[in-house]
Amino acid sequence: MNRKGRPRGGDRLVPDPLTVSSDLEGEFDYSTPEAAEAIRVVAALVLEIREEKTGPLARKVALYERTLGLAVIPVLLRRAIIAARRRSPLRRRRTR
Amino acid sequence: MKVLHVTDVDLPARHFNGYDLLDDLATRGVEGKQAVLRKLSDNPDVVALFSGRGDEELQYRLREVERRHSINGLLIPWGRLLAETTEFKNADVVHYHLIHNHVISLYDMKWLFGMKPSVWTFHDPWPLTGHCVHPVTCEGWLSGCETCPYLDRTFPIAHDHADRMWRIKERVFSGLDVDVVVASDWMLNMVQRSPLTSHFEHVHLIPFGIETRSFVRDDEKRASRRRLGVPEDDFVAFFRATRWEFKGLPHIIDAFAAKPPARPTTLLTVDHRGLLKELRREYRIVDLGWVDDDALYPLVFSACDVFVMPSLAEGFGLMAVEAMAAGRPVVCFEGTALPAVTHVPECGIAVPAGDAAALRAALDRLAEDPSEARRRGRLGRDIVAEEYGYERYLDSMAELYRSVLSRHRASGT
Repeated sequence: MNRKGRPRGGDRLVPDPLTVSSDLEGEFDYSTPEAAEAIRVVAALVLEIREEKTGPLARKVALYERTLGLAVIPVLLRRAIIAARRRSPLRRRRTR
Repeated sequence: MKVLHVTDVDLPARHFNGYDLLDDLATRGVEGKQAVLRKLSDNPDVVALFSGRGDEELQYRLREVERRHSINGLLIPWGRLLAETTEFKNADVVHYHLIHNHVISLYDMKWLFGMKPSVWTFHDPWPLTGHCVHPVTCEGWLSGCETCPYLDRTFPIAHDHADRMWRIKERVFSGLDVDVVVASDWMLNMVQRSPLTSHFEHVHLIPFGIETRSFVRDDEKRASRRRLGVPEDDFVAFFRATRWEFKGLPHIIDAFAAKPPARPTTLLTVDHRGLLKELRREYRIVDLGWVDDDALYPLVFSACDVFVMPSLAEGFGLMAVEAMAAGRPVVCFEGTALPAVTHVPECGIAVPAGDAAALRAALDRLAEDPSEARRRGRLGRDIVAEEYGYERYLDSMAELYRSVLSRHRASGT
């Protein structure tokens, strides 16, 4: 809980049935009624994150990651590298 | 009456995803709107659920999670956004089209379909299976997809959770209040045999319709060939060149590669370029690439002598109907909707699925006997006028929406 007595973001955003780690990827049974309920909760949370108007995309992605159990860091790294290459003066000279 | 069409994207597949119905049903008193994830047109009657790149990003990540966990169509949150749109709230009937392209979560269907009178077109057998879009010869879908031998078929999964997905569909579809539309007897038969859907009370067979007039270009065959760079006196076989696993291109290549043609032959294709390299020595290849312009298809059909569509799976086959409207014979494989849609054996020609030698024999017969090709072509045109006319299709859809709405009103739902 935080100082205002509300659940911390991480606690709030990760319902138990979907806290999957890589070794559970093939095992979790999404067909149970409990999983169906968890998915409904997660969908609502995902939309909540989506509708936040403030904060950079990276923060939203971090929230998705905690919500969905996603490994998004490699994707972000790749994107950062591509963006850096685009800005590179070396690349500009080569393309000219 | 207001009908909202729900699908993944507006313009591609517009002939069967509800887009064309927006305007075309207006004269029958049906006001159409469409809700899509991605909007490509500037049509004011289409509303996009995605609001920017962030949503594309989110969709990508959701699909990635589903891929990693070998599930399909569960984590998608867009159904909740759909329910909040003005278009949904104002609709009398909601017609769902290609929603298995990650538009609506299976777990959202019951409450979503319960909010409005709902129609769902089954474009392929995905609703009947544990994961694949087309089971082809596999019959696991009839008994719960216990062990899936084809995990890499669309939509591919890493772990065999097909039985779990099948059970999810079983639970969702039990008590689902929906009118299902199928376009062919073949799909109707599957829906009636499936333990997941055999209890559905309202299943409607409504074949898609086409505007036949634009395909009637008998006197323009030579002009069409000149425009497309096709030799005027060649035998011309037209087909779709695509790597998509169900469209059967390898069988076409095997058929033509088996021996040199008896007469000069041109292979006319749309979709992907450069997939027929091994045939270049013996055949002239005219690859048109991806054709977006609908007006070009009548020209292409009029330039060919035969349309080859050896799909291994097909829920209807709109291109085959267009070929028939153009007066061209269609050669296909058995085991899909195509033999019935093309009226084999009187009109279309079907050979055993995967049999490239039989496919070649059928094509050679048409090349050697143009009168048979013309006879089948004429018959095909009559069949299209009788069964696949666009006005008839519009009448059927308008009537369907009215009957669905009046039934729901009568029952107070």
